[in-house]
Amino acid sequence: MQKLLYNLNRDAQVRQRCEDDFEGLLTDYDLTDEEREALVDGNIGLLYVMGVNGQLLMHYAALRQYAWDEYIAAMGDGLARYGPVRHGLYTTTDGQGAV
Amino acid sequence: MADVDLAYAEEWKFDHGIMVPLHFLLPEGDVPIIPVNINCQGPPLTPLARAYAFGRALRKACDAAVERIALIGTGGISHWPATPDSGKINEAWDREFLDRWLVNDRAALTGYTDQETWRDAGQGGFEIRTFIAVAGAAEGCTGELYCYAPIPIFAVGCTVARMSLRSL
Repeated sequence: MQKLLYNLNRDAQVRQRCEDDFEGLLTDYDLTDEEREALVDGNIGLLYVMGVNGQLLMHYAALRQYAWDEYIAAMGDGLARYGPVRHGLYTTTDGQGAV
Repeated sequence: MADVDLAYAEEWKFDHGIMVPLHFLLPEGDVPIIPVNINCQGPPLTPLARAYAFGRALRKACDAAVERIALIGTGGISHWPATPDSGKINEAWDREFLDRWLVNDRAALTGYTDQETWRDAGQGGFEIRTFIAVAGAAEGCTGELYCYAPIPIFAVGCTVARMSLRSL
């Protein structure tokens, strides 16, 4: 999933495929059903909780037209709805996440 | 390479850590640069002792070159970028780190565990490696702090400091 987000941020052709046929693009990547659904829905809160690296997620949020404040709020909403961050280092100071 | 093992990249798109300083320091882009990256993002993170050793190796290479060379280390101190805590800054931790850096105390600079840094300075705090590499390059020298200010809208404490080799 993070390779897809990296490519979306770096490769104009991948972004074009995202616009033209996002679900087709997703078949190029090894994704779980939950990952695929979160990507299609642009569910930034769930992607954050899944452990997507923030340096990648922030750009995907922008691609999905999230303003910065909305992006920050979406991560907080994700914590409230889906629980602590499952993997990675991009957690909160109150320990709501993986170590 | 005889002192520290490195990797080499043919393709590299620079991030803000390189482009923002260059934008202000070299707006004309008319000075050759050699970009260097230390992994401060995700495990396996560069051990702090190796960051210091890397700085020493850079110094050795620079001393062997005829050109006049400036070494610029960029990165944040404590910060929690791209998390719901973005904007939080641990000023006390930052100032303690800068105190260690300014006196170039190798043992103190490399004495943090990643767990401590993550807890007290956030995942952005892992970027102390760039400061530590500069200290390694200027081993035996102390630093001068030009400014430090926590700026929440920038999500980090902004600081400028210098180590001069003239004291050697």
